Amino acid sequence: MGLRNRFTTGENERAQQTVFGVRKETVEGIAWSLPYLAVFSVFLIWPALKGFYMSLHNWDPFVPSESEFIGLENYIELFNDPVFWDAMKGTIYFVALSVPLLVLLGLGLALGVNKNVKGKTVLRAIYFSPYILTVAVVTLIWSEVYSEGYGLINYYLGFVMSDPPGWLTSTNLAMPALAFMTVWWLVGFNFVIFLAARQGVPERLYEAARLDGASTWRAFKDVTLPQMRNSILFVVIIQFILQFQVFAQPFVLTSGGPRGSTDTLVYYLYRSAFSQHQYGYGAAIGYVLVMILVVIALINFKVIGTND
Amino acid sequence: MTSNRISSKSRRRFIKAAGVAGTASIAGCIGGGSSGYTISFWELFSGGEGPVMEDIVQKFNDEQPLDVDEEVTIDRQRTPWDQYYNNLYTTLAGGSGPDLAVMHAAYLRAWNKTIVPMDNYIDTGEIEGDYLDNHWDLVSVEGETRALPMDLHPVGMYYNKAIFEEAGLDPESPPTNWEEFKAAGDAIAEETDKWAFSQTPYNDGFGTWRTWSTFVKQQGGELFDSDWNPTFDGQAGQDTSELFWNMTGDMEWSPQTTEADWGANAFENGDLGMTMNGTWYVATLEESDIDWGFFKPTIAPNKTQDQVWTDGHTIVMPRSQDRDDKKSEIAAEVAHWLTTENPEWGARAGHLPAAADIRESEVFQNASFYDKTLSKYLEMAEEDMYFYHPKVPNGDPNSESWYQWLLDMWGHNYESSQEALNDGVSMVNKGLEE
Repeated sequence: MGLRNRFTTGENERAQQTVFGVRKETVEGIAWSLPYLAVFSVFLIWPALKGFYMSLHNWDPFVPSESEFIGLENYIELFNDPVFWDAMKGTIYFVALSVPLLVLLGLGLALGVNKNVKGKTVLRAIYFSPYILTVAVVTLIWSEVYSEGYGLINYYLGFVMSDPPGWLTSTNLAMPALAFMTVWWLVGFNFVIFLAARQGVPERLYEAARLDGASTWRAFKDVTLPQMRNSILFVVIIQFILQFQVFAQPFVLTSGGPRGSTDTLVYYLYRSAFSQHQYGYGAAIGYVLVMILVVIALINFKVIGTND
Repeated sequence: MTSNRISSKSRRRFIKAAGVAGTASIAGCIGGGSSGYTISFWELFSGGEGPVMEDIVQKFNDEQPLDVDEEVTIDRQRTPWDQYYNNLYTTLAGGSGPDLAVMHAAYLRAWNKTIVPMDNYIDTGEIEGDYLDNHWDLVSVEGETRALPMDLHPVGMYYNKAIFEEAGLDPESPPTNWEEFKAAGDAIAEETDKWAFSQTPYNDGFGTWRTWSTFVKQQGGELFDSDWNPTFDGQAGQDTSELFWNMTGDMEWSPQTTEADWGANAFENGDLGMTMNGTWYVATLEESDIDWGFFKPTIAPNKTQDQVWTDGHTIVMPRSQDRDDKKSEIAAEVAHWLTTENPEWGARAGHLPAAADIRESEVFQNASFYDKTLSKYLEMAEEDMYFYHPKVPNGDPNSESWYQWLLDMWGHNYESSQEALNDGVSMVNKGLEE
């Protein structure tokens, strides 16, 4: 009897042991999970439940017990609130501008650098470097870049045009400006994920494709994309979830303006709860946001995901 | 463009951004030990005011000025203004606030549930005389003394003497009424390549409100009725809105921009003739290279009364579950000391201190900018020109979202000034909802 047999026998015996009629393996599994479950419950499940409870009340933060139960009134008010819908539109616009770029640019950069280009190590570092900055630093840098009268862009534009635009002060340009800044900041993360995924694709598949006379496009479509599907799904979902929660960029740079053109759901949630102290209303906005994210994740799984 | 162009803007942005990054921590409160008391004190002062408050607290801790047996230490915690009230409110909701906190008077009605009236722990009848009457009014709400007053920080008009000269104006006799103000603004717009006027250096909604409401009140307008319904859209409000609209329109006094800190950059770089801002602006201007002057902002067109916006810093005692009566009494004494014994608060930070004695003190009267700003602010106080920023019953009267419409009006992001004003009434109404 070799080592292997002894080992498997031991495992089987162990698995068959029971504690109060429950398999020992199961008990151990639960025990190992408990610390995580405890933290998860205290910091996620409980606040989430409490948030929902708050959203059904006219919440009084100082005497919570006196909060008035109002059922779904906060949600009903929300659907009749033009500011909420403007914030919703702003958020969707921001996501529509940023997520496709984040995904496609990240993919493009990864595939580009994967080729044997000169200085690719340096390029990798450059693409990734903005990602390590905090949002505080990013907004600070870009406020200097976008400034209408004193900014970097308009300094150079000033040589070729007499009246360069206000990047953060035009109702048409402000949101694209925030989205562009966000792409610059975050694309490095996607780039790294995609690069790792691309490098995981076995070269023999490309050799086989070449032998079959496949074009570069055909190889990309039939080898690269399917092989990277899981990574793409991951990045798309993550980016939807992150960008739907955009907050700091409008908060710091534009205060949601000009004329509400950069207002977003989370910024409105923040204002309702922390500025107007309408905590119940803010909680309701949060719950609507969660619903949207769940639906988007499901759609993504359906469209991109497979059974494997 | 000089090197200081980045400073004010970056500082303000950074403060906001740092808050986003979550670096502003919330400290717990430190209880009194057997050997003495540690009074936790939260404040929000930045720029030129921050170091002054730091020195004042240091002085207290070194000199132990209170007439008590125990050693009393102030544990000061500063949170940037952008984050301050959120942190304070959240902490108070958790029932573990600091022993003392700085609060703008405008909050004393809406935040009543979060604070303990000062009458509970100090004989307010006895100390009332230490303060000037208008300051005492500032902290009295519905018959209660809810805080101790620290200062008033009204607004005034700051101007650039070099630009006045360039425009052919006498830099030593600034405008005193609308005709002169209009003439000065037009002269700058026509005779120089500088901008004439910015409603607030920060180009934010709240800053615009200070100037706008000052103009409205001077034209006889009212801001709210007795039930706190907004009434600022009356004739005076409409006329002032139209005027602001024209300032960035036909009058060409300012570009149509909503860019944050536009005026601060322009004024501190010598590109802007006049701007309206609070007492605190001296700290920034004293550091700049420009030769600046100051005049009373009682210059609205069709003026029927001299009225100038003000609010004031006060010191409140937040509710706390674990502070005993003895500690509360000591905290109240500390608040009294902070507000009555520190002329530097005026002399260096630029505010009008609430304590009567300070006005007479040498330190205050020898302030480098006493003749320039403080003496004129004092005259306005003596002539009773100040009206208070509304102490609304609900919501946040300093919230940007209440006044965003004013900035968008300034930037012509509406079809007309009337459209902006209508939006303003509905925004403030919504903000006042419970």
